[in-house]
Amino acid sequence: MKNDLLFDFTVDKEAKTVFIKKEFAAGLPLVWDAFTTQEILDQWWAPKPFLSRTKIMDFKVGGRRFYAMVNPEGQEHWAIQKYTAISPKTNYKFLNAFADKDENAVLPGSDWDLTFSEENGITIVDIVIKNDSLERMEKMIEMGFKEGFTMTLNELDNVLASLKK
Amino acid sequence: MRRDIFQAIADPTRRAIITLIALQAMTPNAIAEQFDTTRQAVSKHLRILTECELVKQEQQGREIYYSLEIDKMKEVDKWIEQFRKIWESRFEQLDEVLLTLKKKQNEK
Repeated sequence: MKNDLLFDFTVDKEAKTVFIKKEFAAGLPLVWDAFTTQEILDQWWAPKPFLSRTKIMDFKVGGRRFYAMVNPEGQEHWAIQKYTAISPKTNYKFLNAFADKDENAVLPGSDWDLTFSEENGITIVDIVIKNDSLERMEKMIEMGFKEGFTMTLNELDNVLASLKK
Repeated sequence: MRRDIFQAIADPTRRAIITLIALQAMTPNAIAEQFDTTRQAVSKHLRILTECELVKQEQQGREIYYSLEIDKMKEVDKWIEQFRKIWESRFEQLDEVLLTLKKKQNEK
């Protein structure tokens, strides 16, 4: 889908932090729901051809989302997002960690901070992801990406091959 | 054997070394002191980093100093670009989901 909605993505390698800013052509309540409701999250969280499958989601402070990214072969990559702070329709934070299928987290994880605001019917979401290491970022790429998109497939294969080592 | 930057950063100790010498040039001994491993292990990592052309050596008096090849680190940017694409794809899907949800709301 072509549109002129802002999408900004920057990485501060020194701070191992990813900054993402994205505008959506929808009101804030709807965008908030899309980020915080299991049914809607699973529709978009995984980049194709992956599927997002949420097993448990309890959106409250101290609660968690336990979900898998499922590749076309049915292989599951599990992760846990533990909610640490929620200000309804404004901001929420969670600690993200990879996990096994029995919900044993592989620590340390990354800290996520998502802020929502609305201006003239456009909702802006700011995401800040603090990683403890570059290795984690590699892992995130593997998790969301391995089977790849069609566009830069050849180049990609080379890079991924070296990442997987 | 062909080496590349991704091999260099694939190892946690090597990433730590990169972070250290990004701040200042260091001797192998000074680097080794920062790690809980043998001097030999650190030397091996430094050799791999050198083969990846990620670090350069400079003789200063009797000591050899290792420092970072900043330009080479830029190759990592390509890899970050892929990470960006994940989010791009994710958001394209969300844009469509929101469009569908909005239509549904309007029908109510």
